Amino acid sequence: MIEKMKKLSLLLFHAERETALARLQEFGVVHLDIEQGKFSKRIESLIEERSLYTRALDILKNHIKNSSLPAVSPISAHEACSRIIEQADLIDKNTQRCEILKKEALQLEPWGNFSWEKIQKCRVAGINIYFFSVSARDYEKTDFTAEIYKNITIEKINQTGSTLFCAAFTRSAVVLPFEQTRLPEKTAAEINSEMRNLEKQNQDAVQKIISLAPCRAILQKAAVQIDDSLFFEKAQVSLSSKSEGSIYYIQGWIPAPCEKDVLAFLDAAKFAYIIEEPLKTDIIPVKLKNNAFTRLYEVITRLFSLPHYSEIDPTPFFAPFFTFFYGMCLGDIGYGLLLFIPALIMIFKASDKMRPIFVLGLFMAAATILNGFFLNSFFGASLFSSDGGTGIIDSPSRLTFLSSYVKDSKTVFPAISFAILIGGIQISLGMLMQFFNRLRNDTIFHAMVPVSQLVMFSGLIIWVASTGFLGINEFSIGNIQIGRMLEVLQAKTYLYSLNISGLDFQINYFLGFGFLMLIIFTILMPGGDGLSKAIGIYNTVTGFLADGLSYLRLFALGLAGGLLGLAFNNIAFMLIRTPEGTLNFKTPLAAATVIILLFGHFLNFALSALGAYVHSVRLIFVEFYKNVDFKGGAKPYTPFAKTAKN
Amino acid sequence: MGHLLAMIGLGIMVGLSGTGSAAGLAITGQSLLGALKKKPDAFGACFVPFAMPATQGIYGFVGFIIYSGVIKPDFTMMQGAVVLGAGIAMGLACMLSAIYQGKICASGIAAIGSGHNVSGNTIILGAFPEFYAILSLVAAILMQNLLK
Repeated sequence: MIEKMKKLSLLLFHAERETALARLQEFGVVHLDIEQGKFSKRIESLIEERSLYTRALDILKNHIKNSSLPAVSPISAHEACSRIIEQADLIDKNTQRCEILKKEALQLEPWGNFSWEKIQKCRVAGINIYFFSVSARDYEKTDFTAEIYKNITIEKINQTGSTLFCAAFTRSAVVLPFEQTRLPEKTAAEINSEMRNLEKQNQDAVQKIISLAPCRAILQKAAVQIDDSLFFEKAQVSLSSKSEGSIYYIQGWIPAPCEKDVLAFLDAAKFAYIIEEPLKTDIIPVKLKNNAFTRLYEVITRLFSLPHYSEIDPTPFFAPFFTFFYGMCLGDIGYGLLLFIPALIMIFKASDKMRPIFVLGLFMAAATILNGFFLNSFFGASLFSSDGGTGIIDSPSRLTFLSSYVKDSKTVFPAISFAILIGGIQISLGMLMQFFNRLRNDTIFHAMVPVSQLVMFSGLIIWVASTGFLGINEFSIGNIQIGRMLEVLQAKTYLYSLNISGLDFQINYFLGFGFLMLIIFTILMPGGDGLSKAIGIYNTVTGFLADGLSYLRLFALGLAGGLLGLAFNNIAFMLIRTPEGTLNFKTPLAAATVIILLFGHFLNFALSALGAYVHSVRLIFVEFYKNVDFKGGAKPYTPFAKTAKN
Repeated sequence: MGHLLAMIGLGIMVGLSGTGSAAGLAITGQSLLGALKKKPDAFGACFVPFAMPATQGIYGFVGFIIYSGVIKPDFTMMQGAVVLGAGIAMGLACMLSAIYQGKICASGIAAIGSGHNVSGNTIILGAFPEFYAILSLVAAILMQNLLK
């Protein structure tokens, strides 16, 4: 659900605007239309100051792992921030210098330990010294008796691999045909000493940062206060002046249930205001209002986008599907328990902020266990015996209606039919939601298009089921033979046969009338040219098949997880299976069996859980949202309030 | 001959899909390391996109488990060709989808590393190429019925 909003227009007298805004921020209910692109010098300085506090807090977080340190600060937040950043800058500078020194040490290494003092003396005496490195092959090829080498003495200093390190001594300035090496004018000992000194400075700086750990709380408080000031300044620059600057105006939004409180506040504070119903053209912030169960799924809604104010909130409608899809993809009693137990423990241990995530995990686990029963899978093995084989419990169960079985020497996968049918239900729900959305925002002709699609889609499912496609006609839940019912429905609603290129299409009333309705209402729909309408109809018809088949992933992922689990079981138990076919747990190989089972099932569980989440999310955001014609893009309701506690 | 074709099919099925997942994970892994240099706390947001190409290798392995249980030495040429066809279909679809999914996810990871909040979008877009690997697995499972 989306909370109803009321538009609030506020007029502020220029001399009192700051006081009025401050009171409004204290009140903390009104969402103001803040202009994000507007800046002032004060805003720029606050942003800069905030970034310093963010950096200081990050530095503290990196150096101090213990979060339960005393929160008594001997110095002010500003002083603490400056000191932390000063020390961090010193560490950065020293680290960069150390990197340079390391490179210099590496450069000097092949040249050995020599005195720059002596080299300087040689230079004073008029002897130039050139250092160069050359490949041994080039060195051998060089004719040192040539004219240019006449007054040069060349000495081999060192050789590493095929590279020779040489020094040339000469009284004249010459250009040697080798690459000259510029060496840092210091010794290895001097470099090491400087590096030790810098490392010592860094250690001291880290200690100084650690000693500032008690300042974390005041730094956090100061950062929040800056955020509040920034919010205030942004609201101030968003005021538009009227009547030559004597009056300022700003538009805001209030949740309708808070209207009485807001009115009382505005009257008491003597504000000039108008509260009215929003217009269709207004950009209205969205506040979701859901029950405790649906609120858990708002995190998934926000992952894509908040719904537009004029749309129906899809959260309550996809929440049960998302849970069930996740359970179907993971589909194993054992894996469900692996998820259930830690989630249950964490509900009691986690913070208030994190608790909803674990409650959501609990629902996912319950759905996984339930689907595990339907698919008859317990850590990849069959829990109940079935037509296809034995199980851990030596009796069949009616719950296992989604597990595969053999009929007429062919394997039948009821989960395929179930996946398509549950997808059909979700797509139909999406089309219904689209109808109500369009009824709110467009004409009746716009609204009737998804109804036509729904009628046509129902007809398509009935016809496809009757053809025996993917064994849907065989599908039943207990005694309810859903497939047969669809077959009967097809026979009763049969309209005519259409033969296209040898393919026989048994058109039923739903398909025929749905298609007719689609054409009529698309034509009657205001706006758009003929071509775009024709393309729309084509996309609708072809989209049904793609959308429906997309739900096959529910079956495939469930099967993949189950079979991989079974493979790990087979590999593990192969080690301890005796020639008679019994299991010998007393052999030392039993330890390897346990390791394979633990590792294999952990890996399978992790990858299956990941796949279950990704593909459940995709089915909601792509197939369901497409059929809802979800627009989204709303900005969240953010009341102009103070976060910092006084 | 039928048995030989079937064995080649099994090899292609599990080999190509595994290759695809390995390549896809290498692509996302490289991108993840690059993103972590820029934003060390992005590991949580990037992990799901990083691991997404891992599943195609599993689909190949699942196909292998299904078919390895039904292959017999007295397979006819037609039966061998069914397994070979399933192997080629799954192997190619899984390999290419994993590599290209890896590229999509790598771009998403790079964007997350640069401070853009595209974690949800990356997951949605990354799931698109994988669907065809899933379809190939479903097709391979249904093709198994042609052996009987």
